[in-house]
Amino acid sequence: MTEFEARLNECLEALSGGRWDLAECLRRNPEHAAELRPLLLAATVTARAYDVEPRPEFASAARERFLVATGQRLQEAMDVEPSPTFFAAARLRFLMAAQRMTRGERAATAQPRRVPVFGSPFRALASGTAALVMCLGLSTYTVASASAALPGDWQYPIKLQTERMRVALAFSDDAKRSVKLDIAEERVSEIEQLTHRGKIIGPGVLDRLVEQTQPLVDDAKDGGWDPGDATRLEQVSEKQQQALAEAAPRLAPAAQDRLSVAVDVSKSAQEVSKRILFFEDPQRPPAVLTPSVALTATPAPTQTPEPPPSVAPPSEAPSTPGSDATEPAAPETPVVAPTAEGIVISQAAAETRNNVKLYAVSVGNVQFLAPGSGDGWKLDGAPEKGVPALIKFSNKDDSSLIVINTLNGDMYWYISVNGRFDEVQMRIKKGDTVFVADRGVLRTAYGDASDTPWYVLESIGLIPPAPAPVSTATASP
Amino acid sequence: MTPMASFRNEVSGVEFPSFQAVSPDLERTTVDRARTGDQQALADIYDWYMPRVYRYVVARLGNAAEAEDLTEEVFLKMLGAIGGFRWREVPFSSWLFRIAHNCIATHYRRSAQRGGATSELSEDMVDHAPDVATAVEERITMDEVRRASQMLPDAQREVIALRFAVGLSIADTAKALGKREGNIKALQHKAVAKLQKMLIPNTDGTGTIRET
Repeated sequence: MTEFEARLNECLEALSGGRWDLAECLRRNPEHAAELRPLLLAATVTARAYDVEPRPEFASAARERFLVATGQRLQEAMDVEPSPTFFAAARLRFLMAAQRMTRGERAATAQPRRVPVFGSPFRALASGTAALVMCLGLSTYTVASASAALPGDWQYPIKLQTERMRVALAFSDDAKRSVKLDIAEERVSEIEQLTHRGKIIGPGVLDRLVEQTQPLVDDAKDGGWDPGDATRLEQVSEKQQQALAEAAPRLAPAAQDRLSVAVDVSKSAQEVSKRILFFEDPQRPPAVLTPSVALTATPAPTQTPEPPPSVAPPSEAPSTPGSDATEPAAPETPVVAPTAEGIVISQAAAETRNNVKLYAVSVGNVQFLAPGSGDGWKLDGAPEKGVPALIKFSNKDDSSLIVINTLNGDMYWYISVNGRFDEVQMRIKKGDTVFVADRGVLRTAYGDASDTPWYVLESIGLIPPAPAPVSTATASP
Repeated sequence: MTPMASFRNEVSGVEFPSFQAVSPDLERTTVDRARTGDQQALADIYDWYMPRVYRYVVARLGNAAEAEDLTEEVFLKMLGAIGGFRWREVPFSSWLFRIAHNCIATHYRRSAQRGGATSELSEDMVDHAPDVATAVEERITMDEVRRASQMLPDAQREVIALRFAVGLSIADTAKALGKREGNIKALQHKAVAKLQKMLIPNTDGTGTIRET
């Protein structure tokens, strides 16, 4: 330390201690006065810049919250001979809080869960509550009522502290994860309630959502999650995005720039949970077998595919280049031989689901319903003769391809995701067991795009060795 | 006009804010009571330190709304940790501001993770202007000072916050930050020199501020 630094510090200590003023500093250090003066002035104005007081409202509310946290408030109430009305009111509040907790328990236990491995949120809350009561001297009433608090309520910091205690008390990584998921669900619920009540949503609300979701995303990326937790995270992220969209008009100006961050984190959560659900669970039948497989990597037909069928476009869907299953087949269609061994398609729609016309198709050993050109679908690569080993339908923008094994009814669906194709195993026969995709999982992963493949999947059936065609009219679908 | 030209250039007109310190004996007995869960003692500690913790957080963040949240967080953490406080390690103030320091560090880490920045100054803070007449003029000046200090390297800003916003001594600042006193003094010197260059660039050799 230099001599000058020592003098500077001596002056600063004396200034902050109120022993000297600036003039006195300079008088005592005449040899350094010129150099000291601007520095002391800068230090002084800096110190003055930070001589700020918290807003009185905040100071008062924060003190109240702190006193509640120390348990002093109730202690004082108990120590000073409370009036009978105080006891009555306190008892009523306690009972109401207890009732809310009981309702919370019922709601928690009534909520369906995909995998019954989660700890009871109420049990976790109860243990956290007990610990908080022991550690911080909070009253059970305070903690119980805090569990229903929303951002802005005076009990809210208690609620956050309770949550921290729950995480700290969880005995294993799995238990901690479960608690963190509970907490993430609670943050979503708070945003929903604030929006519902017409409250302005501040930046802290979104920050907390981000701060409590991001670690879950990071943890999920590290691996080791079971599908149950991944499902919960996926559900939470979906709710988050919905809640954020609804809350957007009610954001405080300071929270506006946080919204995109919150949405991004939520989308990351959705993405990582989907990856766990669909790519990392070999036991789950509706698996994406080879994510991001290019379309060209689809299983090759066992028979040489012919060029795309020339088409006689139906009048109602003239823009569809493929042949048409929606309408009666054009007689001049040269692709499919009009034999029982070929591809037999009904002339009229056999069924309409969700405005999608489905035509009965019979080919090889299988029969199923397929969408037609009226809904933008076409038959790809059908041979002129005989029964193809695989029958393929694609939609008009080639973003979706359905492939069915005509021998055993196995079905694959290729769906374009960010320019690549996911290969989704929709139906597969292993031994005597037929596995089919889970509707909910498909909807979660691919949304409405999975509807038509699902209709096809549901309709697949094996036909007897001597099948009776649905119709003798043939067409390229 | 230089940033500080509106500020008084009369040395005698600028007063260093004073920090009301609790007597060491009173602080010690109060903290000892608080460690055993005495709620009145905890309330006293809160009353003594809350404004200083708030100033520290404001000095580090420059954002009143976040400063409020973090100030509360510091005291909730203090509440959970005070049972483990030991006098032989550090003074209580150093210990408390180490908690505050950790809260700020965590906050910055989270902000960095989400790509956010917290440098927004707020109108909500209440300045202690010497009188109403100069309040508006000084308001601008004080914001300039806060902005300038936000531009300091983190280690220097930390020292400035503890020394000038909180009023900790060099020794207590060193203990709060886990550094040597000589190191703190050097950081303080560098920080003050940088602030002087940013805030009072037109200072002649005699230290007199020239109006521009």
